[in-house]
Amino acid sequence: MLSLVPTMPRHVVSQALAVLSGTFVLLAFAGVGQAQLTVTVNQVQGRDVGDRPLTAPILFNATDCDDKELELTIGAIPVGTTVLDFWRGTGCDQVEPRTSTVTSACTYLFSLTSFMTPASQLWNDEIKVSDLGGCTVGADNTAVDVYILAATMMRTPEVITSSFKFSTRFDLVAPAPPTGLSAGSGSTAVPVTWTRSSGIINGYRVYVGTDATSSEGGACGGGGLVAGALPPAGARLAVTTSASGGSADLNLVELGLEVGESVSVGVTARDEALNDGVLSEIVCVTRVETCGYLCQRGGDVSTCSAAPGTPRAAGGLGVALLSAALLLLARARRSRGAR
Amino acid sequence: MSRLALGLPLALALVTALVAPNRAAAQDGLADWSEPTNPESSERFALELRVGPYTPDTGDAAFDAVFGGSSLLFAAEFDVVPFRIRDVLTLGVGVGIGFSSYSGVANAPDGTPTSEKTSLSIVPMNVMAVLRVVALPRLLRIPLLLTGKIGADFVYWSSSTGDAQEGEGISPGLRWAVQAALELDFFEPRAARALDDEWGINHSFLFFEIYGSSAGGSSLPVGSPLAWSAGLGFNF
Repeated sequence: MLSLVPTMPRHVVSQALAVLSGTFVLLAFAGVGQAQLTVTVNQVQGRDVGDRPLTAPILFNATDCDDKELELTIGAIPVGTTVLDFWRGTGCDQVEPRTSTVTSACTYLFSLTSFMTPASQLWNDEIKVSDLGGCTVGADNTAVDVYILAATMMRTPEVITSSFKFSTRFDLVAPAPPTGLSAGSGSTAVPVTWTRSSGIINGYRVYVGTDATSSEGGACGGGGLVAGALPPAGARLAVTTSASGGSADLNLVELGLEVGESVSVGVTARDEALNDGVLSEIVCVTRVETCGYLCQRGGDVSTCSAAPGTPRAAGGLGVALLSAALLLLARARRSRGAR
Repeated sequence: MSRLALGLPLALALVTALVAPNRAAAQDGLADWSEPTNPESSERFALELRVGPYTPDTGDAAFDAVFGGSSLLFAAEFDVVPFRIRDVLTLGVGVGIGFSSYSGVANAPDGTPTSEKTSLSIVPMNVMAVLRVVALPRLLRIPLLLTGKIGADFVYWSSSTGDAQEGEGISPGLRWAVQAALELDFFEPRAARALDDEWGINHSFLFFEIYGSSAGGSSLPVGSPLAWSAGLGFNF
């Protein structure tokens, strides 16, 4: 027997192995001994979801359920594979090839088949996010696992050649708005502070209304911003902060405010699935004239201010002093060398 | 001011205590600690790194009202020492630069505080003649250096409120300083010798300096008649 092996055609060997392994049609994803497919998820119709190996669940938000497609790149497909079966489920740990009659707790999605084209060139495909079953209205952190089975249909039952499983999570609930919004006063930049929202937050977005330059005397009309509603299309996104942010500086000059003019400001929270929440309470920010140290000093020192080129002049003085030191250093070294 | 005034000398004393070796080691090196550690390594330069509280004497009550007092001033000085009377004194030229910043709350014109910050930053730059008496450690083996400095001070200052600059300028003036320094070679003669052999650093010292500046002129008065700093210095 041993002496026959080297002369046995390779396809005979592979078929024999396939028949042997074909008796195990069920594939347990935990602890499976086969080499895994390599799968990367690139985008959900324009939204980058990582383009990386799937070590962490992919997060989907409410807008992803709007018939968006999950773009997959599948590699390391074993030679001889003729079909890729896609399944989904929550908590099921076994799936079977499509043609099997074994009942599964998982839901079959679709298959990709290939007979003439090498599988590695064919299977870069997409899954509709809505088909994954997590797009239930109000779903909050619903987990859905996706299973990919590589198999050959040349035999009955099919022979599983490889597999892959990755997790997704559907977060369709927008975060609550931050509370306790307040704003200071100033001539150029004004701090806006709030109490952070609960839950896993990705960041905060500070919006200003369209009343930025229309009202004078410290009055605000809301400028289209309404507490508890989504920011209107015309609202201006002024600042974004990180998840740890509980404050932001609003640059009144960039907003075009003159002294005495006011603008409405509201803040929304954005969760880790990039769901945007509704606006917090709306506050009014007014640009006021301020008096800094020189102003409070009362003197006319500002007239002693150097021309705009002064910082360079100050720097030049420093360079001159340093140059003098280096000159003396070089001279001292020369004199030492001469001795 | 008082906390800083007490804190830095205490820190200096602590550093001195930490670098002090055991008695035996000190006695080992007592015979030669003040000798030139490496005849091939000449002393031509000095570098001083210092920190201390600083309050510009702006001649108005607004400074304390807005900024609330002193802030730390960090500075460095580089000396070139072309002249010397061996084992007695050295005479050189030093250039220095420092930085300090003060921040407070800007008021509305009616005097009510706003949420905007107002700040004053100063960058003192100076060039001074430096006379250092080295006779005590070299001739009497007392590890104490005495130094006097006098020269010109040019302080660049800039004040801003919120994101807008309120004013800036350069205030010239006269600067003087008196320094007492403790040579650290006494505590670790072998380490000092190794430092000289490997890096060319002849002596290191901890110092305490009293200084004053009349920087102001027609610009913002940012000098101080009396201030102090402490730090670490090297001769090389």
